[in-house]
Amino acid sequence: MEELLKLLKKIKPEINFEGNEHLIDNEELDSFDIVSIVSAINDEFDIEIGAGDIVPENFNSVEAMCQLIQKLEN
Amino acid sequence: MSINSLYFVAFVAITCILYYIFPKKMKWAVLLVASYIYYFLASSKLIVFLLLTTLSIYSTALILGRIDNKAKDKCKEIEEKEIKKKIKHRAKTKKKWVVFLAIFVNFGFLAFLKYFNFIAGNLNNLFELCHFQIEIPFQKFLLPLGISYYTLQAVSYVIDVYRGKYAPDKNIGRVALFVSFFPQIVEGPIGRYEHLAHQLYEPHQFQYQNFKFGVQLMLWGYFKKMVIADRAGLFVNEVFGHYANYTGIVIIVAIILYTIQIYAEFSGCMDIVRGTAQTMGIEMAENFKRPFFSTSVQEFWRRWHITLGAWLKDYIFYPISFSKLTMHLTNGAKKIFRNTYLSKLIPAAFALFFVWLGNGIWHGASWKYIFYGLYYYIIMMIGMLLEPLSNKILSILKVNTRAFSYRLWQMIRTTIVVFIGMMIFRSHRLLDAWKMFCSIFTWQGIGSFFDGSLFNIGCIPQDFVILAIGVILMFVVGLLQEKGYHIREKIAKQNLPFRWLLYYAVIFAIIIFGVYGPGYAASDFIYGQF
Amino acid sequence: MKKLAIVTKVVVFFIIGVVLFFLISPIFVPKTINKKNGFYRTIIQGFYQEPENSLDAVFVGDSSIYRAISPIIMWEEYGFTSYDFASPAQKIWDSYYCIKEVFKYQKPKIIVLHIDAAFHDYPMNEFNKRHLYDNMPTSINKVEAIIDPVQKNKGAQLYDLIFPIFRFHSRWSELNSDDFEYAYTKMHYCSKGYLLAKGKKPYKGEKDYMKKKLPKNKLGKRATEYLIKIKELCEENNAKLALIENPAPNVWNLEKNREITKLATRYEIPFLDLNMKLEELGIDWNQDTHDKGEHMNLQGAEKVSKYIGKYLKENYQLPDHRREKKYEQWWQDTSLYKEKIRTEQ
Repeated sequence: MEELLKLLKKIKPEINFEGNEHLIDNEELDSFDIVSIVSAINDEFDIEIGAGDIVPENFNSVEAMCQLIQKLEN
Repeated sequence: MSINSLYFVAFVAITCILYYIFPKKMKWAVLLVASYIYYFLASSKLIVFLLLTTLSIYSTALILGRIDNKAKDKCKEIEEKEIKKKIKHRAKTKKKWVVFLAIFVNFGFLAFLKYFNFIAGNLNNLFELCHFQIEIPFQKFLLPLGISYYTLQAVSYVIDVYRGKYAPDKNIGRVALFVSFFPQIVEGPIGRYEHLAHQLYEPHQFQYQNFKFGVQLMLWGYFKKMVIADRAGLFVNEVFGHYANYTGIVIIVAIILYTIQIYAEFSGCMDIVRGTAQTMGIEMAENFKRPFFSTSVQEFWRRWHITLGAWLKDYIFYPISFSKLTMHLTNGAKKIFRNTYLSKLIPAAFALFFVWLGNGIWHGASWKYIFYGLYYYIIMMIGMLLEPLSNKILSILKVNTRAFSYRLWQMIRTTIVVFIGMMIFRSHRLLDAWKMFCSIFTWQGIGSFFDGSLFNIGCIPQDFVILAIGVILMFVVGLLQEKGYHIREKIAKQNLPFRWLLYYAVIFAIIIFGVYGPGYAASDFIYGQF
Repeated sequence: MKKLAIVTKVVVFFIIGVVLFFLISPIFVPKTINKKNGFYRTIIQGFYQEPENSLDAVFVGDSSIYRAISPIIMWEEYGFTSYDFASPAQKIWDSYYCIKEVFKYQKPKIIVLHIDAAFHDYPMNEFNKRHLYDNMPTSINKVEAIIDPVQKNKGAQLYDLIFPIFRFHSRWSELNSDDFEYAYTKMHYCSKGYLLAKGKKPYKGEKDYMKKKLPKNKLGKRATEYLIKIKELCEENNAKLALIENPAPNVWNLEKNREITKLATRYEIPFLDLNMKLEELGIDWNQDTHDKGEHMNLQGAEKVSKYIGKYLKENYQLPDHRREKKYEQWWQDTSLYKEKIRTEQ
């Protein structure tokens, strides 16, 4: 969780991630951001997030992203 | 049975009544039968293609499910992790082939029927260049109604099942209805299985509010389509049809009116479609969100034909962005440009190219459409390339980017880019678009604005009055929605006389000011016999 | 209860909408009520302004009726009342529905049908259909006439005829005061359906035109069918039926006369062919036609009207109302008619 937050802040410093639950719905993250975030996560956590995992529910909040990573790690 | 005919209205009315009369378990069947009748009336024999697509995606999804289940069962029996991984891997490869086949078949129909002549024509030109003695004869194919739309919808279903987003549907009726639902089959919106299929299948009880809101939305759609779009079309058809006769101001007016026309037409049809569905309690995806309030081209395309953009994003942009090829490209770019803005831009540029190429090709089988897609690609790329620079300039000049005036400037800028795009879209050939574009800069014909001759091109001055009123209405409605008002709910709070007066006004405005029918020439009429 | 409220609301909304629709529609129908546009609306609507059961005879048919038969002349001479319920290029089946319309409002002793149309077996063109049906008030009879397969109205044509606003809505930009004024007020027509033509263009063809050959002289199958229906309809309504053919040198000949005579004898309908009585009538082809023999002008119409008036008076014992108080209006119309003849070009 901490790691992820650090990573996200590095990619999009202008966005307040903490407690934000509508990152996608409010269009704070666009598709380009998603691509950079996903590639960074894939590199950092050594997992493979595919195109099929990219749904708003998985990226609307930091918690959701965390859950996705945990799911894929197992 | 075009969407703005009395037949369509009657068809919807009958379907709606039957839908509510039939028992719960049969309601979905009413929709399916109505959809197939509708399709058959429009395309007769070509319904075969719709059936083939439905069967192919239904069975493909089931096969994908079975492969998954078999792999899971095997895994249960086996302890070793390595072997488990192998089984999973093998299952995945198998699935890949199956889904590839389904996509290939379905896009195959589309490509063959829609693009055969385009591809053949281009190949023939190529052969001629290389002095080969081959010529592929052109074919006359009738295009099945809505194939471009339902194919995307069908393919999204198999890909989602492949990706494990949801389980394959065992009910063929539900899948068939999802692909063929009659309001959406002609022009979309391109629905997604997870959002639409269950809504279509589940019975909806009659709810007065749904019914009322649905009819209201349909009325507004008909107003936009028949009063605004078709009226603007009178002028637009004349100028685009004989563009060589016009220059300067007239061309500009034609381009603006065409943009108004296509927006009113497309969003109007979407309102009719969504309204139709809503009368039966079905909520369909929105396809337009006031696109002309966009401050950038990217935003415009998130608000214009939304479901197409979303489809391209999910099934072209992301897969390509995460493909191995793009990964290599990213790594390569990082080596050359280090961690600069450019290294981030390159993979996006790569994936986006295919998105816009796809967008262009999807719109039609000609170079004009391909260029139309790439035009937006180029504009977007230039914007992204210059972003750091323009940000710097803005901060040096201390421009307040949050000021209304600045946002207005952005909106105008975006709209002008869209105007040019629409010009390409409407012109017959790419060359025509270019000629038209050049002739703008003669700046001739300002006089036609003042002596009134401009207002007699393809229509009469009174048409411009109606157009102006219509556009102002559209703008006000858009502005209110933009500010978060729910117009239909606001109307519902008014007193009955006002509400009914409003409904009658809209209905009779459509009947009287709608552009339809054979038109009327007094001279023809007076000449009876004797 | 709530369900009932919703249903009532929807039904009331729908009814008001339909009423509004029928209120607005007539504004858009072209007003053929003057010389420039033709008087087709005046002819048809004037019929409905006649007091109920006040007509002794009604003439039905195409332009040969309203150009040649002047009820006012017959009124002056013989004292019976009549009307030309006619429209351009009317076919026999249209006449059938017109006669049905007549019996809704009048109890004439005699219906006189112009028979030339019996040789036509195709429907009128759209505009002529409109000159008749757009000016007829909406009724079941009118809808039946429009949906009758013999009219060959299909798709949009069909509902456009029943609901003319769908055809003429684009007139919104050219509506004038006439359109509003005459949308609802039916005009009283002093000429009783007769349409004045003063011009003279002589007929220069052969004198003995009855002997010439014509390309089409076969009775229409459907026309005959409807003629029989007309006969039955008249019998049901205790009215006599007579067929006439007004002088028409361009389209009439002996063969046609024989065909109709045969038919008329078979069904026991009297048939009066004025082309056989030209001398008695005293028709002068240099003076009495306004369009080279197609139609009578005023002078020709006077001759034809006097002859037919006498014929009807003698054969059908039509009453003389000239001294009756109830028919005062007819004298007023007579002076209006004469004024019209004097002033109109």
